Amino acid sequence: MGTPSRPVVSVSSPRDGGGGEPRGPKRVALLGNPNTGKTTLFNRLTGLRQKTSNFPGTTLDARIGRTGPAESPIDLIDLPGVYSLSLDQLEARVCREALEGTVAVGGRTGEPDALCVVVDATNLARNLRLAGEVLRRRMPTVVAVNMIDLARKRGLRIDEAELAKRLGCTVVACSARTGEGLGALAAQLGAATIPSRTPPGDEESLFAWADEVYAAAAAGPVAGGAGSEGRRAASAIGHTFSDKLDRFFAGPLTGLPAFALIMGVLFMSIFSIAAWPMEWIGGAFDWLAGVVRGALPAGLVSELLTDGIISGVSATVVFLPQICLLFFLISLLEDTGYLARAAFLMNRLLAPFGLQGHSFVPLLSSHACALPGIMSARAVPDPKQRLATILVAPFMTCSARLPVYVLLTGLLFPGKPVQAALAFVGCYALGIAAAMVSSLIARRTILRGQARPMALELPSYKLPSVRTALLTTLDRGWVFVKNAGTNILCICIVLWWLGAFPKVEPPASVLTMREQAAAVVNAEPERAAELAARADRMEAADAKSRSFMGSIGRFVQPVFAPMDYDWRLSVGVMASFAAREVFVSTMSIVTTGADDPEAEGVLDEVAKSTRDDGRTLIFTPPVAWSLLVFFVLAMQCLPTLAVTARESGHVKWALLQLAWMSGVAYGAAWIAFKVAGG
Amino acid sequence: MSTPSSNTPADARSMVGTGEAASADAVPEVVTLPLARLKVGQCGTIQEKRLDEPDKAVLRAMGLSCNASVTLCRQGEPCIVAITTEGAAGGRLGEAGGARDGGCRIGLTRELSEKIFVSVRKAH
Repeated sequence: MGTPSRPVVSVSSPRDGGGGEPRGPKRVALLGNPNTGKTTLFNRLTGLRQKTSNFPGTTLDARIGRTGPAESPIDLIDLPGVYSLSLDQLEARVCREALEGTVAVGGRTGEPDALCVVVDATNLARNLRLAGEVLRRRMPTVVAVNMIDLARKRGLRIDEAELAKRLGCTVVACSARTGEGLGALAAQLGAATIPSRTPPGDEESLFAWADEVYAAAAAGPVAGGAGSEGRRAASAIGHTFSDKLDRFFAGPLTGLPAFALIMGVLFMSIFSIAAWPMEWIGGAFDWLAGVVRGALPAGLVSELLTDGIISGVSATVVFLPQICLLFFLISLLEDTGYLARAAFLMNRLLAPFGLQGHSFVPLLSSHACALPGIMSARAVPDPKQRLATILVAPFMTCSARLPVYVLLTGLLFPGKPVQAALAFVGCYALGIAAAMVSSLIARRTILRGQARPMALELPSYKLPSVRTALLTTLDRGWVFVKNAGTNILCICIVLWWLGAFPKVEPPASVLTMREQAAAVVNAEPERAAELAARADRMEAADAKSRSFMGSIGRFVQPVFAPMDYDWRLSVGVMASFAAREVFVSTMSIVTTGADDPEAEGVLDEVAKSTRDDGRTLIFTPPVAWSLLVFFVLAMQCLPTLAVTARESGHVKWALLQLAWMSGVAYGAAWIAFKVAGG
Repeated sequence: MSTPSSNTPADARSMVGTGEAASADAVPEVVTLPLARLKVGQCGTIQEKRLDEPDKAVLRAMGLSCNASVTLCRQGEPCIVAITTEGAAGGRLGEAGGARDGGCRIGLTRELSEKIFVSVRKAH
């Protein structure tokens, strides 16, 4: 550890006015260039004692964690990685505001008590430029020289004392990966001093100052020196381990196949491994619903708890394993340094549509579920491209659409699996095409603006940190669960209410059928059971059609009349705005009364069901084609809208997404209906 | 060293000047050319970026500032360059003395690498 040659003054002294009122833990802002291991350091220092929110009005994570002893705790604020505080970028603006105390972080405003600048020991010269910008602010500062172990391995030596003297503040060499020096750093965070030197203000002088400081404080393999390691270092460029891997992973012939293989394995893992915990979660919620049903008398409360809350939350939380696994694997992949290379590979494909290579993972993830896809769009650095990615991600065919595709392609191509499979592929292609065209339109209209130049720092390939990946997974999973427990829970209750109310008396035909069943219960018990079951289904179908949801379906039926959807289909479409997969079970209930569409023969019955005239099929071929196109393109997932509102920072973007996708779906469905002969 | 060229990339390839570190009796020729046209392993000094100011500012902050020494690690897309900085004992790239960090690799699209001009010493 290096300290400047002046007395160390506790950070509380100058800012608390000496012995002022206690005002909670000290706050230390952690900032640094991207790829300096800042987040790993944050995780190391805070462990599980951290929480994530957003910087107000942005989608940038504001992570706060507690470190230090219990008697003098410190709240560490992990600011976004920036190359310079003066850049005209969202991350830089957030950092500036956080340092100036004009933005609330974790519910508290005001300047932080101290700053900790994390610099990369293997790339010190450039990192010192940001350190210089920070030191100019004359706030108590500690400089953490991270990755000191890697620097040593490369033959670089950092003279901490010289560096501290030149910077005029405490310098601690550390390694977040191995834990080296973290104790000393934690101790110094609470005793940071106002720097004794002030770096120059203009950019050119600042760069020269950083180079001078580096030249004075760094020593190591001497470039070009006779017999030195420096000669090896000089010749090593192009031949390092990372360079060799780059030739393969970013190569013109090998890059794309390697990418396809990695992504294939990643998503296969998500689908296959996540299937088990998803089943367990589904089973656990079913068990819970059964317990509640058994414990409570039949009635409103029991229905609300089981059919509304438990069933609704279960339908969302069941995706938690997929989300956790996706973030765990992506975090591991990012930590290896590969994702930065992959972004370049995809850039060529996505750039014509106004997106960058970073958008690929969110879009691909959305094929499993749009929720993790939208959440992973935080990796897209450009705010407009990030927003465009969020807006178009739900066009991708998610797993919730698959039951609808199975129903409709089965109706269109009964007994023709090849044609049905081709229609399936066509649905995926249509979703991707709609997303790309929508992105292009958005980037040329509401999200117009030149994209940032695609210049990325490519960190060296390295073994990933499982600890960091687990903490990221925990963090993202918790955000998702919180969302499911608040916004999505409210949505589920409203939808349950719409589908369950008003309570109506069963129709006369149902009562008659039950009387018939009761009459033959002793003589013909099987027939009695069949009659009772039919009566239950008729009652369910009648209740659904007379519910508020049914009324809405009837009310909006004229809207769907151009595509020849009858009122039952309209109810199915309206109900599916809660979640697409609800369409199949809703159609099953309103046409046959059966609440389990997977029961034997129910789907055949749905396919053959007729309209009120008793002759015309509900699902004619033009209607089925039209519905298929509608479900490929429509925004029918309220949890997705809730996540869009959260991730985009404003509900207006969720409403725009709903309006645009619904409009596109409606227009395309009408065209499909006409083309198919409707 | 040559002054930054304002010609087209094709013209820039032929620009020749004198290196500022040259001694009086051996004047190495310096050519200015787009970064994309360096050979793998070849070093150059950034002279000019024909980009909008915000984009230039981002690249400067990333370390691709004027007079920064870069070495091409990979051609194509991404074009990968290593930014090298001299440390203790000073000295310019390739000359005796100076600790190098050289740990920073920047990936650039082909389009960007065509718009960044570097000066290199012409091989004799």
